[in-house]
Amino acid sequence: MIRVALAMLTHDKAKYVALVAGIAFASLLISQQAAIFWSALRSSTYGVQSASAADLWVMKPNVEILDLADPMKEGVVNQVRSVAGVQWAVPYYQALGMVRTRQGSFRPVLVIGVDDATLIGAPAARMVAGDVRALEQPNAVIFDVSGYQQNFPDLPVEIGQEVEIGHTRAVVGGFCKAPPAWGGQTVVYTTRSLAVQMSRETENTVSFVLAKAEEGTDPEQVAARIEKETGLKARSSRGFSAEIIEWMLRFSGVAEFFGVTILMGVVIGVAIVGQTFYLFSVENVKQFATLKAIGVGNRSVLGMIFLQASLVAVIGFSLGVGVASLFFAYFGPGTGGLRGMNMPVAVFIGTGVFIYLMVVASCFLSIRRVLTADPAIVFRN
Amino acid sequence: MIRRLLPLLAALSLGFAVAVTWLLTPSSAVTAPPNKPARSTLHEGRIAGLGIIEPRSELVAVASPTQGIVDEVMVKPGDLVKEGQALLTLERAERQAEVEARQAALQLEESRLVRLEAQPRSEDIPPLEARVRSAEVEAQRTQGTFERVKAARDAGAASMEDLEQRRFAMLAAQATLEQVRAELARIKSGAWKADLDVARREVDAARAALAKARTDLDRLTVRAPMDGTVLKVEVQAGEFATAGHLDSPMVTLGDAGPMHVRAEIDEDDAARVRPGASAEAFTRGRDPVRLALKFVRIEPSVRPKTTLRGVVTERVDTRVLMVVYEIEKAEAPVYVGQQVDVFIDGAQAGEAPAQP
Repeated sequence: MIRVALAMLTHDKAKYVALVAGIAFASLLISQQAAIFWSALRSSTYGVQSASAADLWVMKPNVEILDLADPMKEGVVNQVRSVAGVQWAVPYYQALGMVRTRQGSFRPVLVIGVDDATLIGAPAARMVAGDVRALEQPNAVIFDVSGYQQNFPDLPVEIGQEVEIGHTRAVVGGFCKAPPAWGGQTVVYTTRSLAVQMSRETENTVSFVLAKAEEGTDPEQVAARIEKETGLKARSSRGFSAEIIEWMLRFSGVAEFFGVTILMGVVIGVAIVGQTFYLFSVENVKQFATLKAIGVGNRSVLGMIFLQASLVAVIGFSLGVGVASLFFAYFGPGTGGLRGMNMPVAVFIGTGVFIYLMVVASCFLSIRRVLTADPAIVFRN
Repeated sequence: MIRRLLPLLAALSLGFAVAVTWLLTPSSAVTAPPNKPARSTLHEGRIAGLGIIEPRSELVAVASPTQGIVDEVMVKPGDLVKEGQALLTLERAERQAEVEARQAALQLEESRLVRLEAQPRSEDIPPLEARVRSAEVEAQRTQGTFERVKAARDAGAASMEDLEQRRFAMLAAQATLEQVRAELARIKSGAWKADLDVARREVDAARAALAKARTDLDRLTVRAPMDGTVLKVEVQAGEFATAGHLDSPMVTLGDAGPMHVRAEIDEDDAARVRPGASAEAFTRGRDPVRLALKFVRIEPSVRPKTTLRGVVTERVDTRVLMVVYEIEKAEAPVYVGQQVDVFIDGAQAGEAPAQP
C-alpha cells in the first residue's frame, strides 16, 4: 500500500515537484518573514540582552522603552542599593552624541555609558574585535561595526583609530555587533563618565540603574520592592523586554508592517498548498476508486492520503526552511542591515507545524470526495 | 530519480536549517560582569552612599605665612614629617640682609651702653685730683697770708685795705677749691643714671628689632603643623608662593594614622542613619576590597554634595549628610581620595526598619 501511495504521488513528476515547490515556497515565506519580524522586535531589547548580568532595570516611571530614557540623578543608584534583596546596582547612561565624520559633517550616534568600575551593560557577548575591557583604557569606545563603516567609510575597521564624538577624542577599543537604535543611530559603547562628557550632560547622568536580585529571590518581587521604596519604575529583565516588545507592537508600526507580510505568506501558502494538494487528491480520486474497487478499505485509503500529505509537507518544509536558513546564515553574521538576525526555534517549529496542519487540512477537504467515491466511476468513460 | 533525489535534498536542507538555527540562536547564558560590583553583606534596611577616603586629620592644606619666590622644596609626596619640620623655604636674601643690619644696629647700641657704663674714664681723674690739690694749696696759702695780715692789722702794722684784699683772695681760693672738688666728684660718680636708662632701652629696642627680623626670616620657612604624611606637593622651586587660601595648596598633609571614610548619605535617607551604626565599604574596580568600618561621627550639617566627577560645569542640587567612619581593616592598600561604595546598617537593633 505504501509503495502504491508513493507511486501515485511521484508518478507525475511535474505535479510532484510543483506540489513540493509550492509548500517549500510557503514555508520559506512564512518562516523567513516571521523570523525577521521576531529579530527586529528582539533587537529593540538589545541593551537588556547585553546587560545579561543584571536582572533588574530601574528607571523613571515615565520611561517605556530603552531608547527613550529619561535620565535621573546619580543618587538613585544608592537608593536602589539600599533596597533589601538587591545584590548590587550600577548606573547605566545613554544619550545622543555627535560623531564627526572625516568630511567634517556631524552624525548622531547613541552613546551608551556603562558603569566605569564594573562595565556591566557592555556587549561582552557580541564583540567582533577586541574585548570590553578595552573600555578601561582612557577615552576608549566600542563601535557597532556596521555603524562605524557607515560613518567612516574611508577608515579601516581597526582598533586604535581615533574619532571625535561630542567634541571629545575617542579611541576605538573594539567593535561589536549592535542593531541601530530606535531612531536609526549607530550604537557606541563607552564608560559612563566619558558618555556624560560626550553628551555634555551636567546634572542627570543615570538613564537606568541595573541591578541584580539576591540569589534565591524572585526578581519580580525585588522589583516590586524597589518600586515601593524608591518610587521609581523597576522591572525584571524579562518583564522589561516583554514591555518593550509590547510597546514596539503597539506604537512602532512594525507589527502592521510585518503582520501584513506574514499574513500574505500564510495566505499565499494556504492558497498554493491547499489548492495544489486539493487538486492532486481530486485528480487521484479515480485511482482511489480503483483501489476501493479491488477491495481496499476506507481506512487504508485514508492512511495512504495522510502518508502522501505528510511526505510532501516534510519535504516541502525542509526545502523551504533550508532556503530561509541560507538567507540568515548569509546575512546574520554579516555586517549589513540584517546583521544579528536569526530564526528562532519557535518560528522554525511553528512554521513546520503550521505547514503540516495546512496540508492535512486541505487533505481533509478532498478526503470526502475520495471516501464517497463510487468504485463504479472507474468504469465510466 | 526525483523520487530519490528530492527526499535526500530535503534531508540535507533540513539538517542545514537545524544547524543554522542552532548556531545562530544567541546564547541566553548570563555573561558575568567584567568586574565584580560591590555587594553588601548587610541586608534589611541598609543605606547606601558614596564614600571618599581621607586622612583622619582630613586634608591639611599647608599655607605659606608670607609670599615670595620658592627657594627650595624639602619634601616629596609620601614623606613622613614631624611637627615643625621644614617643608619648603622662600627666597631669603632680603630678609637675611635685614637681619644682619639689625644685628649691626644692636651691636652699636650695646657699645654705646658699654661706653656709658665704663664712665668715669680713669685718665680724667688724676688731672682733676692734681687740680684739687693745687686749689687746696692755693686756699691754704691765701688763708695763711690773710691770717698774717690780720695779725699785722691787729698790731696796726697793716692797712684795712690790705687786709680786705687778703680776705677776698682767700675766699676766692676756697671757692675754686670747692669747684674743683665738685668737678672731681662729678667725674668720679660716672654716667648719669637717666642716660644709662635711655641707652639700655635703646639696646632693648635694637634687640627686639633683630628678633623681629629673625622671625620674618623664619617665616620664609614653611613648616609642618603636625606629624603626618605628605600627600601632595604642588609647588616647585622658582614658583611664586602666595599667602592665603589656594585652590591647589602647595603642600597637602594628612595624618599618618588609620584613614577615615567620609560617607555621603542622601538627605532623604538622613533620618535613618543612627549614630554608631555599623558599616562597610567596597573599593571599585577589578577586585573590590571590603573595608570594615568603625563609626566616628555624624557631621551635623547637611551640605551640597561635593564628591563629584570633577567636571567644572557640574551643577548639583543634591544635599548630603556626612557620616565619618574609621577604616578598621582593609584587605588591600587604600589611598586618600579613593572613592568607595559605603553601606550603613540602617536597621534599628531588634526592630524592623522603618517603612517610608
